[in-house]
Amino acid sequence: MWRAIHRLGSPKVFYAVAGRLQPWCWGLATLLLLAGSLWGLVWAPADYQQGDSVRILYVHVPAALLAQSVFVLLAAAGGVYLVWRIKLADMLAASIAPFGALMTLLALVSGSLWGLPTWGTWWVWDARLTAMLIQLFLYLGVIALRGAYTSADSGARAASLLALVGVVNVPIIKFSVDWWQTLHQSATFSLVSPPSMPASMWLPLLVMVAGFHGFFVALALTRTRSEILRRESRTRWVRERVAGTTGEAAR
Amino acid sequence: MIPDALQAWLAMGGDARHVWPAWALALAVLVGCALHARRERRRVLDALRRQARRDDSRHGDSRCAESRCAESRCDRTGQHRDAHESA
Repeated sequence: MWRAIHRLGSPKVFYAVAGRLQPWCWGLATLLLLAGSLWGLVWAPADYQQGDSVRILYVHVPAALLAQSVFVLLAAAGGVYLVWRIKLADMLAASIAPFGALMTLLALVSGSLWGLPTWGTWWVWDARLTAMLIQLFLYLGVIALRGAYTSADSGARAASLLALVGVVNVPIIKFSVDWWQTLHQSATFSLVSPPSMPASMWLPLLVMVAGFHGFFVALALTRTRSEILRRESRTRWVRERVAGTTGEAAR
Repeated sequence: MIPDALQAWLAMGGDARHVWPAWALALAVLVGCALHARRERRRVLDALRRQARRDDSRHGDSRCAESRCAESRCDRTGQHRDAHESA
């Protein structure tokens, strides 16, 4: 198993494996997102208190969960790069950070749009909201640090370190609704108890969460492959792969 | 013109101005990211091909210089001719 992981750490092997996986990931993510959107917007019932504004849930929760998943992966990739100096880990980190920031922003904006009709305000300095805003700044810090050094390696190490330190914010986001009195509701999904909403609502939500995560995997594979080509442009295998290909043909 | 059921659905029980912008933003972010990744890949591949052509032409010139070949000899091989033309 370790040998397989080690082999996958080679940009050349990862490029080939990701190339085979990515069409399936794009296809599956598109299917899940289409099904989840139809389910959430058309067939899922309106909430008895919140009415149809509850349909914001189907983009807000997947975006917020994914924003945290991406940060954990960013920190893991940073740790791997700092300890083992595996350059593929840094290529992955560079490819996924902007998408994580966008997901955080989407969670914040969709949350504000949901807060207007349900809380009567688009923003409060509530523990969950504030921790999420801090996560957005952490993402922006990681992205900015990477570009702030003339040496690419120094930028990568600084960004990795900030991601590792910043990951402490993820459990704070998760448990903020339990540790402090907040306006934000508690978690929908839990590993130890059944969801607090009916299946007609949490099932489409689950499909959307899977669709968002599938989309992220497909995007990460595609962007990391581009990053590999860019950084390994002087290697023989990249030259051979690119030579004589046109359009999208460099599989 | 629009059927009542569709109109009611679009109105989202009076919450249309909150629900639709949230979904529109999500759609814009996802579609934008997918298109950006596609364009990025094309850009990288184009840059690599340009670089390969530059390297080939440089290679071709140096081979000519090293062998001190006559123009006529270069013209016999397609690659060398291309190299001279692009240079």
